Amino acid sequence: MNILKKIFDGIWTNNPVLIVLLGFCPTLAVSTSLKDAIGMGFSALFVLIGSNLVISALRKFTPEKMRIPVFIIVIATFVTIVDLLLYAYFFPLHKSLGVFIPLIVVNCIVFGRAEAFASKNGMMDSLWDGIGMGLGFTLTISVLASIREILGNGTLMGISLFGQSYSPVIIAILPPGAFLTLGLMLGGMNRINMAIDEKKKAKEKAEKEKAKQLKASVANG
Amino acid sequence: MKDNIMQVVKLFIVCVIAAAVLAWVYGFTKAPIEKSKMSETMDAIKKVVSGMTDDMTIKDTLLSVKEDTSKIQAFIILNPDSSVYAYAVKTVTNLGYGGGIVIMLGLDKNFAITGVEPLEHKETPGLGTKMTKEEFKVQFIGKSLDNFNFKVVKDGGDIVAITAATITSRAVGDAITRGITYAEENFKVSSDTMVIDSAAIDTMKSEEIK
Repeated sequence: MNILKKIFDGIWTNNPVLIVLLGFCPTLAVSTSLKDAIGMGFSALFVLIGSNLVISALRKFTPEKMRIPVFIIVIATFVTIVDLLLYAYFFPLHKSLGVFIPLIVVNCIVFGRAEAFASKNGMMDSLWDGIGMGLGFTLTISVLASIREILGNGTLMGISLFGQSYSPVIIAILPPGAFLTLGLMLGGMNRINMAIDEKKKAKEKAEKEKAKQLKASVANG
Repeated sequence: MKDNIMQVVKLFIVCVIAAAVLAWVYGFTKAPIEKSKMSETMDAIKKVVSGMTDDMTIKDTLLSVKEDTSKIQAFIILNPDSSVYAYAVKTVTNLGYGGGIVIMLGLDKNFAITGVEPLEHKETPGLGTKMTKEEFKVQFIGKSLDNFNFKVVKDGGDIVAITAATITSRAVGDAITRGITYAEENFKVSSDTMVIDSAAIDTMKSEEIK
């Protein structure tokens, strides 16, 4: 239950990109094709899990004043490992992710979770937090990339969807398209959350009203 | 004071462990990385040089470039009897819309193009990236400096540019011109040609014997 809640927290309630608004640089830059986005997402997920675990394990050992350098070393180590592993075993993916892998070092999501969560919580909690946040990031960037790839290139995962006659909306795949799509996604997310909030409030209000009526009827009776 | 020293010691320990882990990962990924780098180049050569068979050898050389100090990587493909079958030149240009473009160029022994394969580029997706498509590349096949002007039609040349990506087309022409020119300068066999690389010298000798 707690685990599911943690993961849902990362994917929706505290989505690192759409709610906390962190990690925009890779989200915007690596969302031109779904394949790259999934690669980026899982690379970040791996780094998040690794850095969260190690930073959480080191939280009693790490001196308060030295915590930032320690975080950076741990994160950079994991990023370099991912970089080397991708280079060695997933060469085409490494080529298309290019400079964005080293940039995971400064992905604020990884650093943010290290500072806000892993340095204060146990290893198991940090592990699930890393998985939840990583999945949230992966899903968000994948949705964004799907929209951009379908509109801007007429393909999904490199497979042509509409045939030759489709003329792609090129702006969707150019940098401005990334901002526009992300903006619409942010708006959509807020709208849904507002609707949920309103429903909740309406429900609470109705319950209060009911309680009042009950009280009134009791007093009258 | 003691606290400060402890902090430094602890940070040092973290650094040492991180370095050790990285050294270990680097150790076992080194070989596969070299391999994938090599196989990328080999795949590109096989794409641009048609009719290559397994008993041919590929020789790796560097071409000297007169105008600047950079070197262009070239490959000589030799027949089993060590006569030249074809050349592959990894040529570059920095005139692309997004900066540098690296192209693998296949040349037969008379320096006519047998294939063009862009390897690295940062062109606009959907526009400049069309240079990787067959429709654009096919116009270069069989062309050489003698029978083709590697400039876009707009500049008075023969290259049919990609719609809305003239700059990219121009850059491809520039890279090809450069590749062929340097290949001819270095490999065209005549008694007074300066040959820079030992591999190229070998090739020259075998040509003479033939």
